[in-house]
Amino acid sequence: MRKRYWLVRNSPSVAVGPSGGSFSISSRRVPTISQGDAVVLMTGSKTEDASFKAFGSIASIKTGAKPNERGYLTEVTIADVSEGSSLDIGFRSAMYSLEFVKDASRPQAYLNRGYRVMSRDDFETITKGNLYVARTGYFLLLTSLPISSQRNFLSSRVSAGHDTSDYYLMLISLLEFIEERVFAAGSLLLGIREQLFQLRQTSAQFPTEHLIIDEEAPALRADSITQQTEAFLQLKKALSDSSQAWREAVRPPRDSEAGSQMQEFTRLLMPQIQDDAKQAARFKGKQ
Amino acid sequence: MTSASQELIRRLEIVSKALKAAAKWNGSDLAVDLAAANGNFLYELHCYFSCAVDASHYFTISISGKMEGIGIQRKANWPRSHGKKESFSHIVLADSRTGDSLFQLCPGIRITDKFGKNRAPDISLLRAAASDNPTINDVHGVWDAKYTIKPSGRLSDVAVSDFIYTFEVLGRPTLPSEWKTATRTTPHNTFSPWLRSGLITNGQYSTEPAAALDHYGIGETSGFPVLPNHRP
Repeated sequence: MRKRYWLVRNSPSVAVGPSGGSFSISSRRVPTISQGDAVVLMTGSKTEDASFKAFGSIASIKTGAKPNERGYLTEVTIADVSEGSSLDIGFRSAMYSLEFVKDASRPQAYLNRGYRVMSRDDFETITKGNLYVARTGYFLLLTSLPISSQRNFLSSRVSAGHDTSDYYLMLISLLEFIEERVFAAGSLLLGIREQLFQLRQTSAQFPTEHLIIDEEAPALRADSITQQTEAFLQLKKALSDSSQAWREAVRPPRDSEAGSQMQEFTRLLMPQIQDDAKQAARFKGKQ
Repeated sequence: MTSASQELIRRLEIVSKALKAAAKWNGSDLAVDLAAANGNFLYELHCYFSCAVDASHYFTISISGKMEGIGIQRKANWPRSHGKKESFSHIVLADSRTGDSLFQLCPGIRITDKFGKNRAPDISLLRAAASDNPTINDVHGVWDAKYTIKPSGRLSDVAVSDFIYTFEVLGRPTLPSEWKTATRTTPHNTFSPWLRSGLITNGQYSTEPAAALDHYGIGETSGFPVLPNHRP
């Protein structure tokens, strides 16, 4: 029988042994796991805390003859367990590189069962830690934007005739979109903060706190310029910290030194994710 | 062992987390989006405060109008979109020697035009005694700020004709000599966007001839604030 690849985690129907070298399954039908199959063990049950822990191959499998009230009890042992898998990244970030996560907007659906089969490609993605960076980066950044911005971005790409499953191009476009609409807004905020500081220097009576308000909206829905500028400075810092870390590793084109932190981040990131031809083919046409 | 792709994704996770806070306004939950329907207001405020900073070199400034809280704790209120004057703060400019109030510098507030309709320029200079319901008798100067996503973008001719119309129905207000003297002596030196009512953009000039702008008594400032230029 063809070798299969399994993802197993603690759940009402699956109990993983403390050493990670065995697990047991309670099921109404006899599980189709076979000796020689490969297995990845997961911990955690929520999208946020689920992660991959170890992998190995099925050494033995024994199903009880008679079902009890919870069905058949199957005892499985694992050989060649590699503890602390190379993949010490959470499910939440890994899921964009896994084919069995067909709809990344509802990741919890893929964690409901205690065990499931997956493709060999998914198994290798997990065990080698070889994630699809372009697709992951694209979805991580896209889902960080408010829904209205996500919609604006997607409709602009569709009307531009882009293939929305070309994740390399989508990520480039998204970074540009963020640069123009969010990052540039942050630069205006910094300018305003500087102006308010200058005005305060000339007049002690000038307030230190400034709010943006809608005429009709209640006061608690007011936006603080100070708070928003802080959030923007955090983004700037996150971008330049990453660029700092990459500058040694990546040699950007010489003619492109100037620009915002966002542009530098983009320039240093892109050469590092171009090598995804195989992954791009796997996720072609998948949104 | 940490693979290169994991390291990249860790960085992207950090940036995404910071983006989440920066891409949404902290109180209203609205998207931070310069291209959204009301996304222009940050640029409007930036131009407004730029005018105030220039004026502060000559006049004594103070704040007035609507505010949250009292005393030292009070917070100024600035518009996301145009509204009644009484809904927002404004800056009062006073003679720095005598302390006499001379002007009110207002953000996007409504002013009643000569036919009784409300107009809302992004910046307006009113006389010191203007009430909460300003009319053409209170206006000295008006400006509109137009942000374009691409700095290569042009100020549209429609924006110019629209502004000229507003300027006309507000009675072609004229800037007092005291204001002109003040803004001429600001650090810009070569020019000031505030010497004439007009339009301000971060992009390029409209395709309207300078003679047309001159004819209607308005000006255009391009590339503001990075590489500003002014005409006519």
